[in-house]
Amino acid sequence: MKKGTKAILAGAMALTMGASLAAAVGCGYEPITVGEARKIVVGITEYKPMDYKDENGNWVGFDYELSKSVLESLGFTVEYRVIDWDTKTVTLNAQEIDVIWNGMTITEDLQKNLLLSDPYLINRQYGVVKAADREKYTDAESLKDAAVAVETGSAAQGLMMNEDESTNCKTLNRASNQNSAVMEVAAGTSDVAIVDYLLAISLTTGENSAYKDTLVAVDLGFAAEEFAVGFRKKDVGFCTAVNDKIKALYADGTVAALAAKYGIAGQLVQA
Amino acid sequence: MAFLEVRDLYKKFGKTEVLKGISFDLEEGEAMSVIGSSGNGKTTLLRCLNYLERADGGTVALRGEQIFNGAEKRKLKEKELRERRLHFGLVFQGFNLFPQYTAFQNVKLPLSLMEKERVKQGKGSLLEKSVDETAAELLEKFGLKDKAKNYPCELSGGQCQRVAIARAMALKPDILCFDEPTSALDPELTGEVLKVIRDLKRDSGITMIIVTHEMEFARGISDKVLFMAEGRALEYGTPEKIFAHPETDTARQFLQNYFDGKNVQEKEENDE
Amino acid sequence: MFWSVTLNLLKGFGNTALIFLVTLVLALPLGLVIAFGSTSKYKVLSYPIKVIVWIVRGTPLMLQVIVIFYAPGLLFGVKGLSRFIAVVVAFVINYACYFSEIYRSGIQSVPRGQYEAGQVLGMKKRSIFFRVILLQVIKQITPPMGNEIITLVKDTSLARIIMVQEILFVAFSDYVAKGIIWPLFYTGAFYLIFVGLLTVLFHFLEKKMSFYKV
Repeated sequence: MKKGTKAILAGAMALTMGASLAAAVGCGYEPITVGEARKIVVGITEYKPMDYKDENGNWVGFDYELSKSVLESLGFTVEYRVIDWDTKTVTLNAQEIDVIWNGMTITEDLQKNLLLSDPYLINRQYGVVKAADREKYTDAESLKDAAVAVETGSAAQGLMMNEDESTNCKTLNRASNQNSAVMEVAAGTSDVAIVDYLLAISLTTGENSAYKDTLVAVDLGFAAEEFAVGFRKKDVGFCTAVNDKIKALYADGTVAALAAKYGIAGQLVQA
Repeated sequence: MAFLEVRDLYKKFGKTEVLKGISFDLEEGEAMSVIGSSGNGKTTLLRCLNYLERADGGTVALRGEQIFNGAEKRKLKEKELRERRLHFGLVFQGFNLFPQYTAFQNVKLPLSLMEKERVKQGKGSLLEKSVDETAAELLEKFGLKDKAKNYPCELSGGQCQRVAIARAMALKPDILCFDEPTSALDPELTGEVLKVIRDLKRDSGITMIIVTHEMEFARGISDKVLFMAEGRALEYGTPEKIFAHPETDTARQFLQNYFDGKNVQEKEENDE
Repeated sequence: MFWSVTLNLLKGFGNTALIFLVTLVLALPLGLVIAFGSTSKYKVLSYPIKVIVWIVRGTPLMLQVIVIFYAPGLLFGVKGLSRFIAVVVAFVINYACYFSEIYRSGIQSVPRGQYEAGQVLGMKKRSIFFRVILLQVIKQITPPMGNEIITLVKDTSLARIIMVQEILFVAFSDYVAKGIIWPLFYTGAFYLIFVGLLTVLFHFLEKKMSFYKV
């Protein structure tokens, strides 16, 4: 390659790096004002029962309905966009989306990089295994010799992987999303998938669940976690407004009704 | 018994009959021109003799020994095929030189391959000198000594054709065939190649069959002329007879058109 | 930090290079086999091969990787191939099919007169192919093959779809997932250098064969 071309390419790369860094830092960013009529883009992934599509192809789900009602009541128009879970922070800071509302478990890393709402739902990391392995995997110890699949960048990954990059299982397969992690188990290419309790239950029980007869959900004894909504660090006003709305919806029973509708009544925060 | 005897050579492609029974004799050292309008089977005739096509009927005998019989339908082994082909040489209209080899290497390649095979089979060498010397001599004979290290893309059309002739001669074929050797050349290069062919006949006495549109050349060099039309040999005889007293109307018309055209061209050239 | 990232990415690029080399070594000859198979005069052979080539060239490589890795377990309940082997199998089949088309058109682009000249000079079929035809084919196919091979370098990044730890997978899961994005763009440098080397190599090859023009 000619010297000149190399220089131009190096320059282009430097520019993109710089631009993305700037975006990440959010310099010159105008925080969202509650009350201005604008569009809010919500970042989600296909995650039953939080956000998923019904048989007509329309979005439904606990988080979907809750977020829609909260954001619309704040005077915004809402758009939902499917994102890559492992790039959610970047996507948010690059303003591709304005808020992450998709059954996101609170982790230390997230607390560092984002502004989080108050917890609005309880979660737990659960295992999904082949029906035949039901007795085999019962706690964290039993995972030591297993091939474990998790969603990359998820709380589950945090459970399996330590600070020094070592893992608490034989192999850790980081899939692009939770559904792919479960597919790994169905295909036999991983032994256990660790995903959110709600997803585990919805995929393995119920009349129309995808893996009704082949996979089961097992309690691996992981501690309870909490879900929160994710905002850009500078969107303090926005976050506060959402917190208040959720509290209000808990108080008047809307949240309870929604939870009952989606079969997750047991996961409500003790408000 | 003539040197080359061709009887009732017949060839069809699918339903189309291209050769409808061609017969002629050729003595050793003779040159026969094949003339006629395009698309009448002249090239097919050469290709059948060289076993590039397999004729469907007729016989070909060389020195009394049959080398083609249309009645024999079995598939020939590669070895037999190659043996039969070596009786004839073919100079193509488009030269078909190997572009990745120099003039010298083009001539040397078939020669060295043949020598290797003869040695492997325990037969003696065909050559008096080494392969390299033979190839160099051949090139020199055709006036290409200082072009030996050039590639075909660096040679003129006339030079390419001369290399092609040298290459064909290298294997000492019994009969050398030319398929319109000058048709692809610019007019000013045509003369150079025709002269080479005339000199070749004079110096080596090799038997030749030449398909050509150059009537003057044909008339001058040939011992026999074959006029073909629609797959048949309409006229066959000495050049004096064919050119001066054609028997068929087709031949007469053909020759008339040619020479009329020639006269017009010469007149135009004179007027300029 | 820069140094540790470079080392980590380099490990990932090692896998990238490994996938690339193994695929090349296997797909180059397999492509020739497929080329001959698809042009064979035995319809029993050429038809099925043509169909396979059509499917392989007509579906995304990403999909092929996913199918080859997950299908045995998902559809048939049997144990499948390891991740790396599955990737290599998918890549080899895919690229062999693309190579076969290039080989085929290269062989067919050599004028018939070249074969015929060899034949009337009494050359054996094998001699004609290896001494006359082969180099002409190689000269003809070197530019398109160079293109395909450079594409292969970048296609290796598709392996991340089944979690093979090539360089992009490492960049995403070790850094982007933690909010550090610059390593992602940094991977570009690795690809650029590698492809740059290949480009130089192919220019060299083309130059070597430019001693004659068609």
